[in-house]
Amino acid sequence: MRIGVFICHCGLNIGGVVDIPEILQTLAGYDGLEYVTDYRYMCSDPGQQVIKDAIRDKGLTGVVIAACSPAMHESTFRRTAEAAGLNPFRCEIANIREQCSWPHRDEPRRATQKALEIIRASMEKVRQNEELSPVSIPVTRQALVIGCGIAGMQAALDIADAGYKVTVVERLPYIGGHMAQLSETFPTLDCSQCILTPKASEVGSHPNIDLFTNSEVHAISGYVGNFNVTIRKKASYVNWDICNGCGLCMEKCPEKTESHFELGLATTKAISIAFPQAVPNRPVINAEVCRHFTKGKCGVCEKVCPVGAIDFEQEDTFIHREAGAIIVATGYDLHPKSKVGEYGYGVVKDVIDGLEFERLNSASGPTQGEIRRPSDGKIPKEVVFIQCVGSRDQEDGYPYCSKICCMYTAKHARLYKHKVPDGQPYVFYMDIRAGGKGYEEFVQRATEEDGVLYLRGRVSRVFEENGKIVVFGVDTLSNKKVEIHGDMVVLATAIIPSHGQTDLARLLKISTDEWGFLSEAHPKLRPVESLTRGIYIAGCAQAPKDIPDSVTQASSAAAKVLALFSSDTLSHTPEIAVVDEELCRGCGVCIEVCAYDARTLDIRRRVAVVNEVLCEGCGACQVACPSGATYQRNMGLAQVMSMIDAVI
Amino acid sequence: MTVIMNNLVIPVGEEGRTRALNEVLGKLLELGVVDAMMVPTMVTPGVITYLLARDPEFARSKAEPFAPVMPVNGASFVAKVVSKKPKGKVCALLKPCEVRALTELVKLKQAEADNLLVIGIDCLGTVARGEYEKAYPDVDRLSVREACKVCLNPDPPDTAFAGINIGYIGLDDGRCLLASLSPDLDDRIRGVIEELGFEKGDGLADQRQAALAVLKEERGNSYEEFLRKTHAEQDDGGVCGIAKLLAACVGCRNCRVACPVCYCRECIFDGDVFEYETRQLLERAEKKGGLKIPGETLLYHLTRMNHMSLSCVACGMCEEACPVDIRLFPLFARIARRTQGIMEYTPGRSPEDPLPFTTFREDELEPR
Ligand SMILES: Cc1cc2nc3c(=O)[nH]c(=O)nc-3n(C[C@H](O)[C@H](O)[C@H](O)COP(=O)(O)OP(=O)(O)OC[C@H]3O[C@@H](n4cnc5c(N)ncnc54)[C@H](O)[C@@H]3O)c2cc1C
Ligand code: SF4
Ligand code: SF4
Ligand code: SF4
Repeated sequence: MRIGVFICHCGLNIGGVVDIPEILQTLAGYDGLEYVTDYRYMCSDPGQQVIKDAIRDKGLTGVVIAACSPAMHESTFRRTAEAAGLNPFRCEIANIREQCSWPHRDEPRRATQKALEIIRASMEKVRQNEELSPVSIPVTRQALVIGCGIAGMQAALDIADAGYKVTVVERLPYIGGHMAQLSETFPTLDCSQCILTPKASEVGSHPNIDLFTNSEVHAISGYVGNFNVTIRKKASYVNWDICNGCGLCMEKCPEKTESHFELGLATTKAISIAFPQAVPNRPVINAEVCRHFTKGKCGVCEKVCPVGAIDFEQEDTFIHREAGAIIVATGYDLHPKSKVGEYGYGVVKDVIDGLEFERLNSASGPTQGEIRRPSDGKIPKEVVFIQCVGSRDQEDGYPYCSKICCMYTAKHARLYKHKVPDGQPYVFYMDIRAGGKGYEEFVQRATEEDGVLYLRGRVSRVFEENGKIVVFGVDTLSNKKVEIHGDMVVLATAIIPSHGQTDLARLLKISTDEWGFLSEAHPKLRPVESLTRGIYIAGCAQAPKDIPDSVTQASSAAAKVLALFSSDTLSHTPEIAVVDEELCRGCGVCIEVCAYDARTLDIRRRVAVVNEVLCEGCGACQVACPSGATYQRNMGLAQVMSMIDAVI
Repeated sequence: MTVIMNNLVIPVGEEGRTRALNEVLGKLLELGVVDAMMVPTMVTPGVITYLLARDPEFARSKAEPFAPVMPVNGASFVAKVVSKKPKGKVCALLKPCEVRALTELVKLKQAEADNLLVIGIDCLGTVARGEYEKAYPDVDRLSVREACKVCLNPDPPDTAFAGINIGYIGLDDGRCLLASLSPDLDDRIRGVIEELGFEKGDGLADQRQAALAVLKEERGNSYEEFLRKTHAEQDDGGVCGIAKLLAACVGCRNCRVACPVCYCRECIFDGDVFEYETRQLLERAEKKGGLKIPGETLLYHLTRMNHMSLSCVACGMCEEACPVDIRLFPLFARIARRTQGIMEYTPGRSPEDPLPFTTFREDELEPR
């Protein structure tokens, strides 16, 4: 092996601490060293040229670049080496910045010694590096979108419009998610349904979109480019292929029940379509209340259906699909009622949450868009809005900010005032966070044009007294106690991940944060990728956000998927685990420790086998295997031992 | 985890308990409910090894189920016999620490438990192989090995296999044996044993349990005392202390060969990784001024400890095997107790307990 070492000064970052001339001197004569040099900025074009020239001129068979972290420039330098005809996996980075000059700024002598050791260890590694070539993975150019709120819809449409097939799985019978429940939307106050419905019907009829509503992802296997999905389509007891959506069944059904879509503010039938514009416009029987299922008799819908679409015998069906990439857009839920007892939520009928207010304000909602309180249908004359219920609450809720509540509360207060001009809206808030195009102006108008009274402070208690709802709070600006006897209270409850999201994440093997929101691969630089290759995230599933942000993120996730689909193969690092079958005893310990499910036991031969594509080269198996039967290419035990030797 | 066993009394006649038990063993082979049987046997006077018997007469006449010697922890042999699922039923008669080691090997997929009948047998301790051979037949005055004096499990675990346990601790001067059948025992085997017409022995089982409780308490105390004493002797300042303890090691790897739960095909220390080039050896020697040979003694022992201390069943065979008399048993006993305590793991208890290496508890490595 003819090794070349290239030491970067990184301006003064390294050169200002580590004594590079001394290292150059000490290294000379080290076994196998063919060439050593330094440069001010190795990553610059002239710096890379220095490397290329040396590889060619000195006939180097391995290079060590002593510079910053491999996370920064490993791929740059490997490309440089490759351009000069060297196998890129014969190029190693010795990190003498993050792991040396930066932390040891105050001890230049010892930093120099340490830099020398790091370089020597890397030389030992490269000495035993094999020439490798990347593993090639085929890509199925079809996507899967899980969750079809506005984020899922946008992502699906973007991919479908680019010409690729998309399978969409939505667990509710209709698509649109929460946006379908909103009345008007900030900051422009346009009607939510009016902007949603055209998109929804486009999703419903797009030739490239295969839509499964009332369905869930049942199982998933595979890896980037090659996922296998099993979808469970829940029984709707209506044959949607022949149903024409006439709605006779709903009209005649004798069994009433609470409407989930209306959040319990209105009733619906045991067989129902959630709302008139629903896509797909097909009914579902709620077997928990349907008389046929609960009492064993009725069947009215079956009798009246003109096309014979009712099918009480229908069962859940399982559908298999392949996908090369997955976008998870499973949205959010609101902090549950039961947890905000001190605000009377769930006890006092006229204490409602934001989504319930949206329904009250919706023209197609339970009050046809008139603001009438749930208890007696009266128009409330004083309405108290409370922000940050459960959000920014270290003790009883969640420490994070739900981000959209300031805006929708301003929206609610204004919409209320537009409909009840003689009414008085109050808003209790902690801070107003209105970052966004036109947002601050929107909130300003609430106070200036619509006379919304903003009170800075927390509410301590909400209770019912003589038909009024008493709100106790403090105005921290005037430092006075405030007591309002209002008619209705609207709580801006915290946004939390949709129920079941953690289970789904486990199924997909992607991670969540401590609250259950999906984790992005990098908070700044890779905000729409999960840590698992080929799985992307969008919308409120990742963190609370409004519609424009959800749509933006969905389109970026779609762009990532399209980039993945731009070729029919992918390349995967060859620096992965390999099993020495002579040594393997088939104990399976490594299989259990592999977090990527990349290992299986070949029962017949009793040896562990690695799936090259799934293996991320994390090295866990190498640590777990007592026999040293599994090792990572270019990071084998013998290599590690030599590296240690170089250091101690 | 308790298992309700079906207890039967095997009467012991004039000819003694070996005869009585061997009769049952022979029957199992004779009636074809087991096809082969691994039992301890005496090959020449004073020398005990194992026998894989297929002829019922061999089992009857040659088995030495009560011989107080354990030349090798038999689990390793069983694993060799049933490394693949055998066609017929294989039976193995094992001491408690052998049963526990075998359970570990089953979990490590080194032995197939399907088609295996384990007959565990109480053990009050074994004497060192060499001493036994020399003293034979005058063996009564010999005292049991150190590991056996502090053994906490003189009875085979009920939960490890769907098998049979033979008990004698606490029962009347060898006038009977107790056969406890696991509720999941193969019906054909159960049928054969029940047909032998033994009486129900639940009373005796209680008597044995009571005696075991007393014995285990005593053992527990001696064990604590042993740990304290050897800790004082051996613990001489961390790694340097261990290095001193192991100073005489010649690197023969006998300890790992004797260890029933060391299951590697080839010890990593005998492979390429530790085959250093001349250049490396000379560089090492240069750096330190001089290099001890054989090298990697400490690394070898620490690695072995890391690999098997969680599964260590405290049989003490490593120390028996060492040609230079290194006190391995107390060293491993102390380490194993700590690691097993941290992972809340009891090796050999049941094949259902997952190996700690393969599971993760968030708090498992929190300081305690
Ligand atoms: C009271 C209120 C008022 C608001 N007003 C505005 C406003 O005026 N302007 C604005 O910009 N934003 C507003 N928002 C925010 C807006 O609702 C969200 O930004 C937007 O709905 C997020 O879309 P999404 O697709 O990420 O999530 P969602 O709308 O929650 O959609 C997620 C979809 O995924 C489905 N799903 C969940 N889990 C699964 C699963 N496991 N399998 C299959 N499907 C699943 C759900 O059924 C749902 O259809 C408001 C929010 C609230 C609470
Ligand atoms: S841990 Fe080692 S010996 Fe066991 S199966 Fe894996 S590679 Fe083979
Ligand atoms: S010491 Fe470790 S590697 Fe060697 S045989 Fe034992 S368990 Fe295997
Ligand atoms: S048996 Fe003794 S000498 Fe041989 S390797 Fe083990 S400790 Fe060292």
